[in-house]
Amino acid sequence: MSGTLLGRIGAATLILFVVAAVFAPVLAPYDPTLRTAQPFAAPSFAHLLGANDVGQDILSELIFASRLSLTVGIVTACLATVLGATVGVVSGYLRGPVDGVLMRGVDVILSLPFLPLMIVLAAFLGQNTTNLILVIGLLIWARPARLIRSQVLSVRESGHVQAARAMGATHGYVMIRHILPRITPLVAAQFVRTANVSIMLEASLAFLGLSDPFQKSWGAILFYANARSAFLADAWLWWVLPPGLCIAAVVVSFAFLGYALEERVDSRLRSILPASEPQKDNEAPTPVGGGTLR
Amino acid sequence: MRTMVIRGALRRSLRPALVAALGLLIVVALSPAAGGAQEPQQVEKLTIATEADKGNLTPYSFRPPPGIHSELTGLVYDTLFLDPYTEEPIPWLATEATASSDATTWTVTLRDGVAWHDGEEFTAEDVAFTYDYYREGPSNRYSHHASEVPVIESVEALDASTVEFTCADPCPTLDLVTLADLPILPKHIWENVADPQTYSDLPVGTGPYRLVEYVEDQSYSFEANEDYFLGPPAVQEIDMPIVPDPSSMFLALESGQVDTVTRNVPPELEERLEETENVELVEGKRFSSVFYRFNDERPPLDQQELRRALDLAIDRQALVDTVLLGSGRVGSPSFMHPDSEWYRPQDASFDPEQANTILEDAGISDSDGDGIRESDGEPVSLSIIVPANDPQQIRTAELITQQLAKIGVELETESLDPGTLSQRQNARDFELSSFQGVPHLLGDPTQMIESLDSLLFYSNPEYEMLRSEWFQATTAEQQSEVLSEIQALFAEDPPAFTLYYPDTKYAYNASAYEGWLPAEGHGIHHKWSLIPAASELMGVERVSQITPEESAGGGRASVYALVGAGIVALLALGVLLWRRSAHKTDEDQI
Repeated sequence: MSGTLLGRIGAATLILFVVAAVFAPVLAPYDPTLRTAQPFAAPSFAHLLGANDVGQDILSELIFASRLSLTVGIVTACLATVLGATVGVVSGYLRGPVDGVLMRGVDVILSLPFLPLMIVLAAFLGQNTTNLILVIGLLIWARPARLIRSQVLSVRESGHVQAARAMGATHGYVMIRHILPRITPLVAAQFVRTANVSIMLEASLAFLGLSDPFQKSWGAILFYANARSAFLADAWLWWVLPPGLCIAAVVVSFAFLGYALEERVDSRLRSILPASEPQKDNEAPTPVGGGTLR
Repeated sequence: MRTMVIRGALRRSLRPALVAALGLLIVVALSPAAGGAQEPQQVEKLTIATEADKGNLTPYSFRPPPGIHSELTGLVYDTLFLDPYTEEPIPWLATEATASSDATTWTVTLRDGVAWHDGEEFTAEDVAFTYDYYREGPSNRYSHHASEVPVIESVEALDASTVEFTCADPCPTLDLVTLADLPILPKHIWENVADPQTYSDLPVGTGPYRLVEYVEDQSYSFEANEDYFLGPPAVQEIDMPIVPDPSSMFLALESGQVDTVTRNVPPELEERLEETENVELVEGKRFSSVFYRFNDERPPLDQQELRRALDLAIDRQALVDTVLLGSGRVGSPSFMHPDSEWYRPQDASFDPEQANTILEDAGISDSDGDGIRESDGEPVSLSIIVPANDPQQIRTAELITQQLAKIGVELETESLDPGTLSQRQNARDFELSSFQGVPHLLGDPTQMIESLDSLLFYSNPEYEMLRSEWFQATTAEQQSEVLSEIQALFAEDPPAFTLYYPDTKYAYNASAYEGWLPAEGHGIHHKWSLIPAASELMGVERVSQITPEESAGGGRASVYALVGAGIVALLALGVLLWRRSAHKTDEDQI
């Protein structure tokens, strides 16, 4: 039950951020690209979180930055999940040489050091949001693929799938009609997880100064805060803490949502188990067969 | 009668006040002097945080980003004259240099009894070898000073301590600039070096310090050269950790882990550091600037009108106020640093109206009404490359983007890591490029001529004529005059857009060492800060001699006391004199 409660909290927080992102021009008190205060101004009633190093309102920056973080998170997660689910389903269902080739590919990507590779790619491809999304998406689909494949491996042995295949259904039909519905909760959980990872990666890259420097993102706000010594001065309170908390809040609420979803997947799994009894039946004769061999 | 009484009373009460005020004046005025008269400080060990790895500190180990490479190599190597940014040549490894009447041949006498760190004797052979090596060997930051501006034809060792330089053209500033800039290498080591770019041994020089350990990207360790020809240096050992992150660097200074940092204090930290105990700030007078190079080979920047309009549309004062928080000076078309001897003032004008007019007249106008002008049917959208690790330059580009939008020119910024940036700059693969001016670029007249040719690719028919005049000039004064005329050309047709000259304040822990010497052009981190004899030779005061309170701005009270006491004393003196003359006229009347 606590799982669903956490899930609700997560969903509510996320909705809050989505609303902020969508209505940013209405909600933000200033245009974050304009200089509306003294550089390094401390918080005041006019500027609740003060101003950054060129006098842009930090609160407005924060609100507008939620657009980029959420876009990167959601678009990348879509990309990675679609890729991961396709590979996972195809690989787990077809098995054999296809599975071998795809999974070795997954192994290669899983063994790559993430952040250093991201840094190299970001430097090589140049810094715009589309590249960023592509690069992150192409790097993080491997984990969902591996997890979905293992789930597919058990689903494909279940009675109704075996029955469909026995009745001559094509591979494509079985994968879409019978496998995909069964793994949807897992895919949803993986979607949330990859969204989480990509938001963190985007923030890390921006913090290192490797994304478009004029793009307002939480990581970029932290980059300027660090570069202009906010960590050394009192300014960390209104310049470092808020974007940090925003990143933390989004990541945690995605995690809550993921937790709730995974718990639902688990309960489904439990309900699936009786249906996959044929597996146990298969296992049971083995000692007999083994005995005959002996 | 009544006035007389009042005056008398005034006089009586003023006398002690005058005496007190004068006394205060003397005490306040003398107290810093008393501190300055002390013996040169001797210190066991200093820890200096530096911001970037500069290789094994040979003249060939320079790598971007620009920084204090030549100051660091200067700890190990010496030059024949002290420094290229001094008013007069000050002998260093040389004792004297005399030019022939046409200034093409120079005879240089070297100091006797100077030894290399490995004990070998320093001779004229080393000097001749070094200049030949720079001239003919692989290029480095120094080589064009021997092969191009000026063209040194031959360097001959006449005997063990005399060298003769022959230039292709008159070279009247050879002793002032060239000989003061090029570090001398030991022949017995470098004649065996096949590829100086990959040479990785620890350097051997004649300098005040020996580099005893270098760990790439981590640290340098120096040890004093006790046999230095100007006497043992003031600091026995120097540890130099490489700390690229500015925050960690200044945090280490605040907590006392390091004694000074080679990065200049960012304006936003000034106040905080001034309040930190033991930490003092001093203006280092380093030549520094940020300027935009442009590539006039690529349209639309090949049009002089567009370049002129861009120059007029940049509000430099706004950049200084916003990016530097006021701690700097606006850029000048003269390109050179305002504190350099060779600088001739030229004011950059800010006039977006005129910029618009120029563009309209040149036919660069906004025909499709999208707010961006078109040139030959193409929208005027320029790209600029900036270093990703320098937020001030990124912010500058951001502000300039907004300023240029007002004259209908679009600017797109690409921020690149320093390596890629310098690669693209060297290949001229850019439209506009943000560039940091270093002392060498901003204070050295021969480098100015060289830069116009090979860095800025300046083409202007009048400049071509002046350039040949420069090469024919037989005195430093004539060269200076030609350089003024060249700088006058820049007012209308600048070789680059100089945006600002930032102030260069440096922070140090006053309880660790106070011998820092703000040398024109260099900041405070260089060998002269560590050589006791240098202050007198250069005629520059150390921070311990400039009152520490004053330089840090923290001791304003004493300045106020001084000024206040002065005013009181003057007033009292004035009243007394007036009273006396009034008294006299009284007596005369009687």
